[in-house]
Formats: sequence, structure tokens, C-alpha cells
Amino acid sequence: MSTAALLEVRDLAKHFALRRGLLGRPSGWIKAVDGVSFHVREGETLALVGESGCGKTTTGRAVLRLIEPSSGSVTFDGQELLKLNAGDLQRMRRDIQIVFQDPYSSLNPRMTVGNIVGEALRVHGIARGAELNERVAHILERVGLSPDFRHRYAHEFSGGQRQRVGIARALAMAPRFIVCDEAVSALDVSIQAQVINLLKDLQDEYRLAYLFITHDLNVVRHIAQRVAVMYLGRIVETAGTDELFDNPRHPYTRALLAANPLPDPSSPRPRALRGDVPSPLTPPPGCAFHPRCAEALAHCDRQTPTWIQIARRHGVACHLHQNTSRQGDDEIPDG
Amino acid sequence: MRMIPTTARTLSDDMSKRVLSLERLHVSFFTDAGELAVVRDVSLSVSAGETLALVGESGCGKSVTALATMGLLDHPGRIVAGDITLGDDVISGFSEPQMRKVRGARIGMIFQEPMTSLNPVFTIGRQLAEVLRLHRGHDDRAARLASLALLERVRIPAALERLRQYPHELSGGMKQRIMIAMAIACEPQLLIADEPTTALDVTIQAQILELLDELQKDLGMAVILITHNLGVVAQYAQRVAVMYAGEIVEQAPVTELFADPRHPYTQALLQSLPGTVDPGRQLNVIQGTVPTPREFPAGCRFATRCGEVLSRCASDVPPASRHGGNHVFSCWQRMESTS
Repeated sequence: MSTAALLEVRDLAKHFALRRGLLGRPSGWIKAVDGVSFHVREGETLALVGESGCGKTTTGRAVLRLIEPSSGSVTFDGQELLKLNAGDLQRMRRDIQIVFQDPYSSLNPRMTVGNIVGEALRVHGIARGAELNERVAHILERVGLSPDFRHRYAHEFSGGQRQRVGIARALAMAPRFIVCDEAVSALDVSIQAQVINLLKDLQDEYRLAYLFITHDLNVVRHIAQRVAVMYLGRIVETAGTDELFDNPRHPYTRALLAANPLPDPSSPRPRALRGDVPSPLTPPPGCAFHPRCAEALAHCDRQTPTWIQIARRHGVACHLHQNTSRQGDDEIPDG
Repeated sequence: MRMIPTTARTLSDDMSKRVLSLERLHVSFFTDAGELAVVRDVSLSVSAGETLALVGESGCGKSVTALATMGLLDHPGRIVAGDITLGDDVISGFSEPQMRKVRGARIGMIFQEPMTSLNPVFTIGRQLAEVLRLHRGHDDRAARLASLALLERVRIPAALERLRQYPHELSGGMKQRIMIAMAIACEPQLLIADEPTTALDVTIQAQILELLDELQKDLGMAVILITHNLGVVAQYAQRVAVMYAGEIVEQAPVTELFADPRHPYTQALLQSLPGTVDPGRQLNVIQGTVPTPREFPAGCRFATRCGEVLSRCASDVPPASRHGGNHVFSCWQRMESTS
């Protein structure tokens, strides 16, 4: 396995302006993503977890420039994506794809499955005519769908089959990196298992890198090698998957794990975290988690915690761990 | 092993505490293309203070079963056979005006989407007061006081302020608390919670389920918890009924169902969960997809996906068999291999 990162994200931010009136100036800013850094290696899955509104979806889209980031840097295979012009970005997008959560709204109901899967190949001038047909049939087969399905429309299929179409569309360009945005969250358990296995097989076969955005911790444990936990626009902890589940350090990560009901009646009852996620419009000062934190210190409501690398692959942004930093460690701040 | 008739009577621990029972309920949808038997021969019961989880994948009939219980089946759906008994009343024979008195007063309901169940143009206070006027005959002042007490009961801080707010001003978790407040306003005997936490984040889910648990203990309600989340089932239910394609395939106390599932569908479902195999390994899958009502096999409805199918499975409906005291399942293969 190569050690160089395929995707490197640095201090990524996306601030949405709130406007009043038709021509009004911004009356405030929503810092949906506020200084996020991570990397993903070839053939690796990094899970980005957190609750709704934490900025994980915005992060995934900003990485692809489906949403234009406000600042920061995203390098893919050594190239700075945020500086590419439209043409170069288009070419780069062959390597970077996305699978969306909702297989109902993310597939065009007026297009046949064959057109959905083959569109990018056609647009990029990679294949046409008989060759295009053949490639589409091959991809459909690879994701477990009958090649005959290419003449049918998405609405004729079940949720699991549609998600396979979404995966086939992403695969068509032979990408190296796929953002999976809650790609299995809307699926029933038995169908979810099929799609997770498919994603895993494809990863092994093509050495794909995944940024796996999800709120489902049970899926994370199964599919990811590393995990980054987000809260209100920032990453609060990253670690290898086993390390994160066995030895979570940020109080939010601990609360998230404790709230997750395990499918085993003998395991302890979930413990509820008090309070609601605050509005990103008015994030709490200092550490954004402090109003809900059971272990908050006196200065947590004033000082923003800095990133602390507590082990080579384990980092956390929390005042509780301020003194546990590894001396002289110069690791990149994402595990 | 012996074959037993599938009546709820034989499944209940304590008949004197039984709040609701469905006996051999059949629900069909009458469409242009003919009758679709979406719920077939469903029997279950739930007692005071007990939580029964109704679990299954989308389209398995769990919500239709709940709607039938509440008398809320819409055209073209209709109960074609079976009885629904609440307390001493066979409510499946009730008229709509009679059912209107049952709903809200004796059966409370909460749904997946608190956003769509609340009226966006009225304040929380007005919507709560309406429930209390309708079912308890409160005047404005009494309704207001009772509303405040209810909000405190569902642990909503700054209750007075909340009464003046509109639904869109509240978070998802807060809205679900409001829905719970409305559902328990009349201290119902039975609470039906249909995917109450599916739209919520995991930390809020834990808060809501904790609250429901607490209210159930206080009020002694029977609860039917409809969910597809097996983690929620394991942690919050005492008994479980597993539904597949409109039928209950297995029913058991929660620890027994997870430790010793008998039906091949239940087994396959539990084995397909991430966490049953080492990370990175292939998950066990159930081949194929759930058939649509039009495609339901005449015999066992799981026959088309089952790994242990016998020749008779596709044509003959398997009867319910008992495994130990309180554990019932319907499967030809398991019945024969254990008899």
C-alpha cells in the first residue's frame, strides 16, 4: 500500500452567507464547514461521521467542488483542485465520483438506466455506439444488475437496485476516488448488506478510495479503516476504526458511541446525550460542544481547543487532552 | 413440538393485563388489478406496561397493521377478516365516529415524521389545546394549564415559551416530544409508535426512547414499537414480532429472539447486520429482494429467498409452531427438523 495520500484536504471551509431582502448584504454567516483537514489513501476508506447539520455532506460536496469551497485546499494526486479551470476540473472529475443517499431523487426519471450509466462516457467522448453499449452492459453486470436493464427506467426498480445504478454511474469513468454520501443509509438491512459487499468488492478490485459519509456507526465499524468525527463544522477526533471504537477520547465521540443501540439485548442500554445540536448560525463560543459536554472545564466556553495528536494515528480537539500531546510529533493533523 | 392455532390468546403471558390483541387479521388492498393480500393472518397481543416491537423491512406490512389497528386504513385498503380487540371492545367492528373517540383517547399514536404530523400554521399551544378540548372537554384556561404540565412531562424546557412557538422553530427532537405530549394527553392504554426515531440523530433517538420508556412506566401503557432498527428492538422491547411480506414469521421474547431465532428469515436478517462478521469481511446477505404483493408466493412468502426451501414451501402456508413457552414461528423446514 502506498503511503502518499491520494486526496489531501487542508483547512477546508464553506461559509454560506445569510441575506436579508433581494439585494441585501450578508446579515450573517453559517460556517457549515470551518477548517477541516483530512486525507484518504489509495484503496482506503475514511468514514466521516456526525449528526445532521455537522457539515459532513457539505464537506463531501466541497471536495468535489459541487459546492465551491470558501477557502482551503484540496489536492488530488498532487494537483490542487480548487485552482483548476472548468476544463481541467472536468477532466479531473473522471477520477472523482459521488454516490448519493437517495436512490429515488438522484436518478433522472426521464433517462433510461443505460443513458444514466453511459452519459459520462459519452460526454467525455470516451465511448459511443456499440462500444458504449458494451461498456454499459459490462458495468451493470459488475454491480449485479442484468445488462437488459439498460433499456428500462429507474422508477421500475427497488431502492437497492437503484442504488446499484447509482454505483454503476459512478464506476463508469473508472474513478480512483468515490464520495459515498449516506450511500447505504436509506436501504433495508438485507439490501444494505448486499450493497456494502459490492462497495467492498469494487474497492478491492479497483483499489478505490472512499470518503464514506454516514451517521450509521455500525456500518462504519465494518467498512472503514479510519474515522473522522465531525461536530458543528469541525473535525473533533480522528483515529483508526478499532482505536476510535475501543478508545474514544473526545466526549462527543464517546457520547455518540454510547447512544448507539447495539443489536444485542445483553449489551448496555444506550445513554442519551443531553441537549440538541446548536444552530450553526450561532455556534457556542470556545469548544462548540461545551454546552452538552459532561466533562467541560472552566475555559471550554472561551477557548477553541487546538488539534492534539495523542498517538501517531489518533488526534483530538479537546481541552481535556491538552497535556497528553506527543512531544515533538510533527504528524499531519489527521491521523 | 406441536401445531397450534394462531390465536393471540395462546401467546399472551397474562390475559388479565392484555390491552390489545389482533386475531388472525387479514388486510387487502382492492386495486384495479384485483385484490392484494398485503397483511395475512396476523395475530399478536400486547399487555399493560409491555413493549412489543413490530420489526421488518419496508413493505412488510408493519405500518398497514398499525393503521388497521387505529381504524385509519384508507381506500382501497380494508380489513377482510379477523378481530382487533382493545380492552373489552372489538374495535374492528366500530364505526368511524366510534373510532374517533378511541383514537387519541385510548390509543395514542406517534409517527416517523413529526414535521409532517404537526400543522405548520398553528402554534404548539393551540395544537395541544385542541387535543385537550376535543378529548378531555377542557376550556381554554384548563387546556393551557394541562398543556404546560404535558410539556414538562415530556421534559421540554421553557414550556411557556414553547407554547407560543410554531413547529418550524423547533428541532426534530423537540417536535417529536410535542407529538409524544399530544399522544399521551389522554393517558391512553396503548401507544403505537411508528418509526418514532428513524428521522432523528442517534443522540436524540436515545433521548426520545428513554422518555418513552419512562412515560410507559409512569402510565402503565402498552406500547407497540414499529421499527426496522434491530438495535432499537434489542434495547427497548420485551417481545418481538418479525414481519415479512405481510405476515408475522416469528414472535418471541427479545432475548430469545436474538439468541435463538428459529425462522430462516429472522436468522438471515440478524446475520446480515454489520458487526456479525469481522470488519472488512463479506457480510452475509439475503439473496434477491422482497417480493411485491402481486408476486407473493401462495405458500410461505419467504420461499423465493429462503436457503432451506422444501418442495411444499411454495404452495402450502406453514402453520405456526411453538418453540418453548412463548416463542412461535411459521416454517415447514424448522417444524419438521425439530419434531
